[in-house]
Formats: sequence, C-alpha cells, structure tokens
Amino acid sequence: MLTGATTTITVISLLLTWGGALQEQSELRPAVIHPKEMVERRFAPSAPEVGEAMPDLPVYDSEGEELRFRDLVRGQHTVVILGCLT
Amino acid sequence: METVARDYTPKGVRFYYLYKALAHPEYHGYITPFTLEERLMHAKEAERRLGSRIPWIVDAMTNDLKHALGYAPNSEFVVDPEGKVVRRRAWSDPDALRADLEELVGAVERPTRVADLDMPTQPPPAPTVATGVVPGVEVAGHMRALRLTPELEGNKYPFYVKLRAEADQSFLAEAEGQIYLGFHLDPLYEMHWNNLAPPLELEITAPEGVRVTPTKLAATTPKEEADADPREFLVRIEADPGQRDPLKLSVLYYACDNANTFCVPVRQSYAVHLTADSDGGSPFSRTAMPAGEGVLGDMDTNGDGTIDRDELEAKERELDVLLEQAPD
Repeated sequence: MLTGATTTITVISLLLTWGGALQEQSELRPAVIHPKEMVERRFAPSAPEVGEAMPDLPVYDSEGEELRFRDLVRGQHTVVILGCLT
Repeated sequence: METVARDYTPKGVRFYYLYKALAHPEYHGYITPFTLEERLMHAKEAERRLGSRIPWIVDAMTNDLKHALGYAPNSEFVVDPEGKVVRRRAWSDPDALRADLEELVGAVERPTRVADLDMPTQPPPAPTVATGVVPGVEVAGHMRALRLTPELEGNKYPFYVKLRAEADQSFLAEAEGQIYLGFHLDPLYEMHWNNLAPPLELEITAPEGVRVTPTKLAATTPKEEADADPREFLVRIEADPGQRDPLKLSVLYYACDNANTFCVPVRQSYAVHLTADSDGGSPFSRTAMPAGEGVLGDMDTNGDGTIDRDELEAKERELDVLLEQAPD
C-alpha cells in the first residue's frame, strides 16, 4: 500500500513540476520525457552501487534512539524501502 | 510490500521502511516537521495509517540518508548479510522485490496474497472544525520551497502552526518576484484557529538590499468561530544581485487546542533563506499549472489551458480511490 501510494503521488507531482518547467523553457520543450526517468537519472549516479556498502550514517528507531544505518543492515538479508506520509 | 515481508521475514529477511522528508507537504493536512521528535511522530502516524508490521526507522533532520541513497522518494534496496547492496531500484516494486528474494533466499511455497492480509489501515485525521472557509492564495506558475530555519530555542510552546515558504521562478532566477508564506496548523497537535481571538499577525524584516512589500500582514477572519484553513500570504520581493541574507519573520497567533483546554498567544520566529530547499517537496494544490499535453493535459478537465486548484483536488480524490484499491 505504501509503495503504491508514494509512487503514484510522486509521479503526479513530478508531472506537475515538469509542467511548470516546460512553461519556463518552452523553447526546450521535449516531445516526451517520463517523470520517473527524471528520478532515475538522479538516483543512478548518487545511490550506492551494487557491491558497495550502505552509508555509515545515523538513523533513528521509532523511539528516537540513534543507531548506525550500516550496522542496522548487516548480519542478514535486509530490505530498505524509503517512504513518508505523503 | 506487506505480502513480501510476511513471506520473507520467517526466512530471515529483515525489512525496514525508512521515513524521510515529506514528498508532498499539505496532502491530507500533513506538513513538514521541524524537529526529530515531530518526524518520529510522523513515522508513528505512518505506522498507524498503514497498519503495517514492517518497522519504521527515521532519517535525520538533515536528510543525510535520503541524499546518500540517491534522493528518490520511494526507492528500495536489498542488502546482503555483509552489508553490501545486492539490488537497488529508484522506485519500489514489490513484484520485482519478490523475484529478487526468490533468487537470493529461495521461493516460498504459498505466497501471501493481499486478500490474506488483515491490515488495520486507518484514515488520516479529519478536521473537527470548518475547512474551505478562508480563500487560499493562488499563484501562477511553479513555486519552489525555500529553506527556512524556525527559531526553536527558547520557545515555551511547540510550533503548533508551521510556516511554509515558497518562491516563484521569477525570484529564483531574476531576484524579483513573489514569495508565498503559508501558516498551516500541524495536525500532530490537534489545534484549530479560534476566530474569536485576534487573527494571526506577521511581520517581515528584510536584510539590507532586499525589499519586501508588504512587511506587516494580518490574516482575514472568516465568519465561522473556528476553522482549520491555512493563513496564506503572497508578498512581492526584490533583491540586489548576490544578496541572499535571510528574511526574518515574526508571527503572532492564538494556539487553541481541539479539546478546548487552552487558547494562548504564541509568538514565534523564522529565518527564511532566499534559496530553494531541495528537500522541501511540492504540494499538490495552490499552483495553477500550465496544462500542456499528455497526463497534464488530461488533468485540465475544463480545457482552459491550466490546472487549477479544483482540478488538482479532483486528481487527489482520484488518487485516493486508486490508493484504496492498490493491491500492495
């Protein structure tokens, strides 16, 4: 449910953002650019590559206790999905 | 996602949702938190709403993890026991994730279906007072969030009402344009505007080389005794070249809780930096967008060439229906 919600909403937002950009730069108006691709273009060079370690940064559990993200994802297979309320 | 977690948690796979900055502030009334404590409250609210068993962990207020993980709003990663990334994708995809886990740790005999789940999902908080009674501002073109710093030190009260600041493209590109300043009730605190009390007042102090008009504002008071609408303003701004010192804002409002146990005057201050905030997200409403073609054109239901507030809200309702029907 979270995935569907966040993804759908994000796609719409990116479409709107792109719409605004098109008005500002009408001379650069491309025929078709998928908004998901815009996110993927930024993600590809900046996210950890396959084979790389996860970043060693602080993260908080639901009680506010500070943990190290890298430690949290060690020891067994771990899935991390980013999301928010909106 | 929940079905994948139900199947693979017993096989030794750990799952986390990583709570990050809001992608779309104001959607269902949720607004950008100012403190880690408030972000933790958001994560608990997400847990309440989704009814998921997947635990939430929370990014720092500096959004360092979101940046380090590629800035995407809904990405996902699979990490091996040595802590190294074995799969990554910019958009979470439960079907693809299930295929990944089948490959990495083996298939499950009888995959859980959505119909098997009994997730106690909850609706967002509903306003207990009037809404839609204070006309909102409508801006032309796309606006971007501005970075702002609330003065947290020395406050007797939390920021029951939170500022959202945005600038138009004209200001960001040419240092002359409009700034949106919206004061939104934070649903975390269950407050309302008591319209029998004096209205919100705002005073803006511009640094040397920046001109703002007007600098003193007061919110309009609707006929209703109480409401939950944001108090919004548009101001003109012009800055000399290279001038990027922040505006100082001082706001005075009456904070009144929904249980009617207190109603107190609160004065709070902000520095509004004249630079875009890449973590500020973008609200659905407020901006009348050029419709263009494709999906944006489809949203332009009255065919006037722009997507106005009503059309955006119609899209929000359509999305809500889609989300209710989303299989996973």
